[in-house]
Parts: sequence; structure tokens; C-alpha cells
Amino acid sequence: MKQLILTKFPWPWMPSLALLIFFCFFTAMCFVVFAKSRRTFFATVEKIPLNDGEKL
Amino acid sequence: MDVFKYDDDIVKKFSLATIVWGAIAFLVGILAAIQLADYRFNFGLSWLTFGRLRPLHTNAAIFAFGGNAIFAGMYYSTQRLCKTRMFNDLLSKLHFWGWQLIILAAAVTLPLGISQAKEYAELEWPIDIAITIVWVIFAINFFGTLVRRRERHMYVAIWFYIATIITVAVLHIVNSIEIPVSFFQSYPVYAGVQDALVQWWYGHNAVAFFLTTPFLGLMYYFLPKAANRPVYSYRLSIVHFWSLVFIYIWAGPHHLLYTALPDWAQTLGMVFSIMLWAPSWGGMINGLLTLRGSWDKVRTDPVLKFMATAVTFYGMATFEGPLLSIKSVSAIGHYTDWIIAHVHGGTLGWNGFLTFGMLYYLFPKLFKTELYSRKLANLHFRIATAGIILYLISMWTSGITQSLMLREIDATGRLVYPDFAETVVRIVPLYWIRAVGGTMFLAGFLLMCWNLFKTWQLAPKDRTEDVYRVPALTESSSLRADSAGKESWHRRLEGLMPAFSVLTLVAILVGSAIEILPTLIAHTYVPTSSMVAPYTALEQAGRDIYVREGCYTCHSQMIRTLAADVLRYGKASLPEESMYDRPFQWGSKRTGPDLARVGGKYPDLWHYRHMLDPRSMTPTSIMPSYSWLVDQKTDFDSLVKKFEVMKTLGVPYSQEQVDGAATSAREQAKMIASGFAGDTPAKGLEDREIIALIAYLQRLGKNPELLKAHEVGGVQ
Repeated sequence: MKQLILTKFPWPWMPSLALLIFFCFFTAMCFVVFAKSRRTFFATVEKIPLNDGEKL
Repeated sequence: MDVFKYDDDIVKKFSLATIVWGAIAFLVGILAAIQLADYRFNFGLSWLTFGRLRPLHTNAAIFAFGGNAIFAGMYYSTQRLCKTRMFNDLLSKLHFWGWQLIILAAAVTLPLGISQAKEYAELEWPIDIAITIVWVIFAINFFGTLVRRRERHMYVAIWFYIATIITVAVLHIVNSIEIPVSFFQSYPVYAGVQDALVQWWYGHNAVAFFLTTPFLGLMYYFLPKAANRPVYSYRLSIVHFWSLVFIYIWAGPHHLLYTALPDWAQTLGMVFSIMLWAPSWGGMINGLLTLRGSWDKVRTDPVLKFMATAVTFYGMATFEGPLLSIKSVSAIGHYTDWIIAHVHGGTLGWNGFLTFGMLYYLFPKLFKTELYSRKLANLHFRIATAGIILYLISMWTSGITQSLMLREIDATGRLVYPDFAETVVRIVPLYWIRAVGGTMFLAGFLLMCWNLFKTWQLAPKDRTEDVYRVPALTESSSLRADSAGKESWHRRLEGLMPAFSVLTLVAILVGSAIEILPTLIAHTYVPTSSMVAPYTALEQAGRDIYVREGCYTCHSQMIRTLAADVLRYGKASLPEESMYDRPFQWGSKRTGPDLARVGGKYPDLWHYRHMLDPRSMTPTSIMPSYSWLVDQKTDFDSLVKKFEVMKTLGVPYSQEQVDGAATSAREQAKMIASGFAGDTPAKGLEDREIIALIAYLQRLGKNPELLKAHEVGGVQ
């Protein structure tokens, strides 16, 4: 029964395409996130929660 | 410089609602747990029976307790991360009161049996529409706040909130497409395999995007705040976010392993569930390492204590989830209390403890005072932790014990424990231990309620709203450009809320498309069969009663391809067999035996007596009595409308069948009732609900031609 369904499923390329999209996206994201130039940026933004603004 | 005030009134409202609904959700949970240990604790009341209480418990825990908690945390943190007040106070209030009304409607309708019988999506169509409206109000308010923010960069917690809002909207709308029969009933447009796949795509991601992503956002805000140090790695948080959002949505089919779901979908769900390990643990490690250098505070500060333990439970639950999604492990764990342990490790430990930590943090801040008693908070922590441990150990033991008994086959190839009730007797003592664990968790929660109430009382009477001053956001804001004065594309993206939201939507839609598109076109390649007849009118009426009573909370209708399943229940279920099932009733837990092929297994009289007093037929049964089914009359008049809707949905009823639905149902009922002869007080029995239910149960699995044609029973 399962084999029957598998052979009749018309878009076998679809899961592979999705996996490919994910891995391309993941690789690109890692390049961006781990770029050296972003070190100072991250050091600044990671402190955002610690500052609510100046209380008057 | 801009001067403004944060709206903390809405945070107080949602915090209070979290506490009130939390108490109700936990109390209902304990009652349901006790009912499983002793069936008499429904006190003979239909609206207090496990099948109706269980959806109330899950909805109250997830959407009332969890929902209000995430809204409290999101309203508090979003304003501070954006350095602005919420977009519109009226929208905040509409969101709050709208959500409470929805919960109230759920609390009334679910015990009355008004249910769609789809897990975590039981609420009927008018409430579904209300949820959509309130969610849109919330979304406008949230995104409006982001537009007005005075902080260029959207901190990672906000990313998780965006993912939550977008994904929950998509999940809710897709899973709630239904056609109303009346104000209190509807049928889903999906049927059988399609309905199962859509439902578990929703069900799994309700956990992902209602109980995980918003709480991760809260973790990324409140944990650094409470520890007074930045998150361990902001880089890791970005990788965590995108990986989690992208992968989580794919994993739904791991709830349906070894079922009639196509094999490719099962394998895909399993593979992505295992891949989820990496981002989940990335998030956990990021959370725990945020506390580096602050572990001394964890010993004394109840806020950090609860949060650190919550993150640990998150790690444990996200280890156990992928483990259970491995097919060979699922074969043991699925349909048993192991899943209950897994779910409660996540909800009590991760969601519960993070909420408690957040409330202990928020109350002193909101009421400008100190926490009334740290000792009480620490006592709460100890009692609740011990309660969770008791809960988890008892349910792990129960699940594995029962599963091993159910699977045990002797040398001659026969089941060692052929009687399902025999395995139930062994685990009842563990149900009592679970009830004790749950009660301890509630006791700790009540201590927190007292502690927070006293904290509220300590608040200075003359307190006023704080006024804050922050630099206005201008084109020359420091975060807009890097050290070289250039603005990178990704930095722009991080500040662009619409583009960021669209990207998040794309990430979840890619995974959703893979899971849903093949299902939506299933009719083009999954064989349907003319050998499966649609339900008769009386069977349909009985099915609606089955749905109303929440029978799916204890009985599955899905025989897996596993040897023990086939030996115990008969040939493995086929996709065609549930092609007319709206909603599908495959179930997710077997407190009682599977019913997929119960039709014809026992005589009608057996079912009649079993419904009235299960112990008269199975002495060790823990099923409650459904005596009201003998008193309540079947709603024959609505059957024509029901058949009309079914016909619209593609069920091949002729117009004569539709028009004569009520008449044919009465005739079939009369025939069944007359078969009881002198064995029951048969007078007037033909128009009682029990006859309709018997008609439905006797129909289950009765597709002899189809089974013969398929020659199924493939054992794995």
C-alpha cells in the first residue's frame, strides 16, 4: 500500500527542493552572522534588553 | 529626546489572567488525572467526564494560561525593546478582553460537548472566527508598535514574537476551514488522511509556535534582564531563530508514524524532527550560558532559579521529542503515557517555570516594591520541581510498562497479554502518583498566588507611572551604519519589520508547502475506493455523539502496521477507510483499546451494557459510565442538513438519501432497538443516542470488499 502511494506521488522532487532551499539559506545565514565586521554590531545590540531608557 | 510612558496596565491585566486561568487549568488537569485513576470522579455528570474535560484542560493550559503569560511578557518586553509605548491602548484592551471572552466561551462549550474533536483546535467555528479577529487586533497593535519604535535594531526576542504571530495566524486559518451545520457544529473540509495531516501540521506547530517560539522570545528578554547581563551569544540566537523557524514546521508527521499516512511524509517528519535537535539545544545552551558568572545568584534568586530550570526542561523536552520521533522509538512510545510525560515535561517545566520566573520578576517591577517572600518562592520552586519529577517518572514508567506488555509476543506468535484491560490494571497505581505530582505542582502555584497577592498589597499607595526619556530615532542613529559609515543590506533587513516578517513567512511556508501540498492533492494519487460506503444517517448521528463525548481522547481508530497492533486489533488501517471521516478520529492516546475494527466484534447488547456500566462487561475497565446516552434523544431532524453539508463536501450521497436522512435513521434505529428483544427496557429506546452510537461503532472497520481487495496486514 505504501509503495503504491510512493510511486503515485507526482512531485518526488519537492522534499529535495525544500531541503536544498534550507541548506542554501542556512549556509548564507552563517556567512552573514559570523562575518567579522559584525562583531561590534552584535556587542551593541545584545545590550538592548538591559536598557529601558532614562527614567525621569 | 523623546519622553513617554510604558503601558504597564495591560501587562498587569494579562499577568492576573495568567494566574486565574492557570489555577483553573491545573485544577481541571488534576481532576482529569484522578478520573483516570478512579472512573467514579466524574460523579455521573456528562459535562464532567474525562472526554470533555481533557480538551478543556489542554485548551486552558495552552491558550488561557500559556496565552495570557506570553501576552503579558510580550507587552512588557516589546515596549522596552522598542523604547516606545504600545501602538494603541484601545487595541491592547480589545485584545485582552477579546481573549478572555474566547477562553470563557471555550470553558462553557467544551464541557457541553461542543467540539470539533481536533486536538488543540476543538473550538467550534464561531469561536474560531473570534480567535482570528482578536489575533488580527493583536497583530496590528504589535506591528504598529514596531513601526513606532525608537530602537533601530529589532532585538532577537522580537523576531520570535513576529514568527509566533505570523505562523499562528497561518496555522489557525488553514486548520479551521470548515462548513457550519449549525451555530454549534461544523464539519472540516478535509477528510481522513488529509484531515490528519493538516491537523498534526497544526497540532505540532501549535506546540512550536505557541509554546516554544514566544517563550524563547521571553527567555531571550527576561533571562538577560534578570541576570543583568547580555545573552551569551547573539550570533547563536540568530542561527537558533532561523533554523528553528525553518525546520520546526516540517516535523508534524512524526505524530502519525506507522499510520496510513504516506511513507515519504512520515520519513520527512522524522528526519526534520531529528534535525530540530540542533537549533533547540543551541537555544538551550545560549540560555544557560547567559548565566555564566551568575550561578551564585541562581542559588538564591527565585527568578533565576525558575528560569534556569525552565531552560533545562526545554533542553530535556527537545531531546525527548526528536528521540520519540524516531520510528522504532515511536513504536514503543506512541499512544502511551510516555507522550503524556513528554508533553508535561515541556509544559510544566519549560512553559510553567518560565512563566513563574517571569511573574516573580514582573510583580515587584510593576508594583514598585520588593517580592513579599523569597522563602515562599523558593518553597514553590521545591514543591513544583518535586511534583514535576513525580509526574514524569510515573508517566514514563506507565508508558513503557504498558507498551512492553502490549507488544509482548510469545514463542508461538501469540500476544502474551491479549486483554487490553490487563495492562491498564498495572498502571493505575502510577496514575495515582501522577495525580499526587500534579497536586504538588498546583500547591506550589497557589503559594505563588499568595506571594504575588501580598506583593501587590505591599505596593506604595501613591505610586505613579514612570516617565522615560530616550533619543529619538533619526537617520543618523548609531546602529544604522557600521564603523565605515556604510549600511550593510543585512543590517537594513534587521531594521525593516515588513521585509523581516515576509522572510519569516516564507521560511514557514516552505516547510508547510512540503507537508500540505501533497496532502491537498492526495485525491489525485491516493486511491479512493467505491468499496467504502459513506456512513448511513444513523451512523453519522452516532459519529457526532462519539465526537461530542471526546472518545478520541482515550480510543484511537488507527491500527498501525506493527505486529502487536495487527495481532491485537486486526488488519492495518487503510487510507481509504477514513476517506469520509470528518473529522478524522485516529486519536493520539490509547487509554482504552483501538476501535478501528470494533464493528461486529461484539453484539449490540454488549455495547449497550458496556456504555451503561463498563464493569459489567470488562470487570477491570476504568471507563466511566455513559448512562445519559440512554436518556438523551438522538437529533434526527438535523440529519438532513448534515447530509447536505457532507454532499457539498463531496460525499456521494444521492438527493434521495439527503432528503430521507431522518427517516432512514429512524428506521435503522428501530431495527437495532428491536434486536434487543426482552434483554433491555426497549420501550422508546430507538430514538435514544445510545442506539445511534452503537450503529456507528458497529460500522467501524466494516469494509470487507476493500480489505479483501487489498489483502493487507503487512507487519513490520
